[in-house]
Amino acid sequence: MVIISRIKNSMSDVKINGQTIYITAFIIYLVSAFLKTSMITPAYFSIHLLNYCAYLAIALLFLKLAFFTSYSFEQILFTGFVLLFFGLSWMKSSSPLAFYTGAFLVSASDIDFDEIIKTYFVVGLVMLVVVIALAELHVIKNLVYVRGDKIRESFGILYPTDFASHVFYLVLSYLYIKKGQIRTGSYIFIFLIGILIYVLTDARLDSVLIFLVIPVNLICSKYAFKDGGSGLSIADTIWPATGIFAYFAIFSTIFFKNESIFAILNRLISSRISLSHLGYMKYGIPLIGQRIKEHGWGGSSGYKNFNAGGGLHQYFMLDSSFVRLLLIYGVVVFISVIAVVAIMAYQATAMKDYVFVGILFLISLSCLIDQHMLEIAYNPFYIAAYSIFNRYIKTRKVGNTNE
Amino acid sequence: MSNSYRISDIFRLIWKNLLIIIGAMLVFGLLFGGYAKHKQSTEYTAKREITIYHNYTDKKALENTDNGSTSLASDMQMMETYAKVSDDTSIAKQAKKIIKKNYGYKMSASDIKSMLDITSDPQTVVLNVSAKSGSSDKAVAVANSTAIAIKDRLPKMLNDVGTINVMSAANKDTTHSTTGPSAKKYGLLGIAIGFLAAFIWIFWRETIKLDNDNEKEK
Repeated sequence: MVIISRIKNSMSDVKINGQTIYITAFIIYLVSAFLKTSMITPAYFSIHLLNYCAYLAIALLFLKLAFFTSYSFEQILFTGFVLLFFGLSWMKSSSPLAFYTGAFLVSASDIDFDEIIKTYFVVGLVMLVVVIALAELHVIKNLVYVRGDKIRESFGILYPTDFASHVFYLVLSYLYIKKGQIRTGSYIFIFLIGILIYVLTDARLDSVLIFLVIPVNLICSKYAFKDGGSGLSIADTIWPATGIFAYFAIFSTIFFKNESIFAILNRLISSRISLSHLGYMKYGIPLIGQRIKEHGWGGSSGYKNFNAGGGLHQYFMLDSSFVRLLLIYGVVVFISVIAVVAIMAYQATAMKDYVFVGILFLISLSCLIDQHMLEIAYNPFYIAAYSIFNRYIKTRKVGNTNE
Repeated sequence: MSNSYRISDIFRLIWKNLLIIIGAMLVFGLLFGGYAKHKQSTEYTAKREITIYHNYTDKKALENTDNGSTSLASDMQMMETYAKVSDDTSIAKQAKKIIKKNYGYKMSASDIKSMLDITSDPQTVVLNVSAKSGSSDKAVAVANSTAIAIKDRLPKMLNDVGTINVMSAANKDTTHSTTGPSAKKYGLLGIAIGFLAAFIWIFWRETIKLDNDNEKEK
């Protein structure tokens, strides 16, 4: 009874405003999206229940958009464009991820992005720890894969690389919360996490990315928010990374040939380019979106297929986020996402928020090979577009007034 | 959560609300564990194996055929097809008759089909016929009768199937039983979900409270 009355009392003073609704929607969506990436879902929960949670989150966002947001004319156009085209892409591709990211992005016009990342970090970290504990207690499956002489553990997540990606994005969010100002001890801790991820999951890309966090942050945090110094620092030059990597991923997908230079690269990254090329040849590039049937090694059915040596289904996955963006969600969503991220990175550079630019750079490297660009359970950083834009406009106004 | 954010803040938040968290863990643990106990049942699986192959004593059959594969390899390649064809309703109907005659059970063909799982082991000429049921007698009856029905019906459904041998019959002693869902596992999951639900609620409350406080300050 004491607990119930405590809950009652603390609920009564909750103020319903845009931020409250947004954070609530974000938590509901994050929890359901995270559960979908774990082995809890197939064993104990219906995937439909989690889909309904995601719909509830989107309904809350619409409530916020309709009654708790004030718009300029440009904002109405932008919001309408994103909801319409990303929604159409969902209908055509049967994949709602771009729409969810788009909806969270356009609803965040007046939301404190730092609060979003704090929420992501705390909820994500606690959930990951709980999932690992459940896997170690054998309540859920810990899928173990063998590659050569290496054993790869998933710790309750669908696939070892997915587990590694969760850790990588949590490291990035920690960096963001700390604004890059971390001590030597934290650098050593990040290095140890990288080693652990490599040893336990053999996820080469994510281990390298976690190691790369250290030099990237050392460079970016050195120059961040500091005046003075003429000429460009290295941190000023990395903002176009997403565009360049996207171009490279698409170029190599379209023009892949077995005898070309791409063949060596293809072998290094486990045939990802040739599989992307296969997808491009089979499905082509749609304007709005298209359904692509994939069969990976992740989850219970993928695990069975892996152990049957691919005998149940031919392995076919589009791993690169850029290739997925174009082939699954279509040209309109592809150009919109790349443009928004490029503008965001440029504006952050102009404001000397190099730590955030460094984070976007590392995400773009991950997107070259991994598929988590539009999954908020992994990558919540693209929602920051409005927050960066608002800060950029404010900075420019202050600059103009000072002049 | 303050602006100077530390991992220790998470522990502080948990410590401050330990009573609510433990309460939620207990309630969810009991609810999930109780649900599993209520739903708990034992399922029996009976298995019978069948081998399907061509005569390997014929030397020519062992030699490479025109397309480069041996007859043994061809038999192996066909196992997946045999497994799929064996799942046909006509075989279940045949099994239904055998069950009634040999075991005295009256079962529908669709019931039999829903109990069956026919698979082939990779790189072998073995077909596994397994039947699941809440009664070990029924599982044994379905597995044995279906295996006989397959032997009888398969050569009529496909050309040149080869020799079909039905292996040892399943009996009550060879059935495998599984009891589920596990109350212990569900209880542990409930405890974890209780912890998560309570923590997320507390964290949400803390975040909202901070936002409201910041608004007041403004």
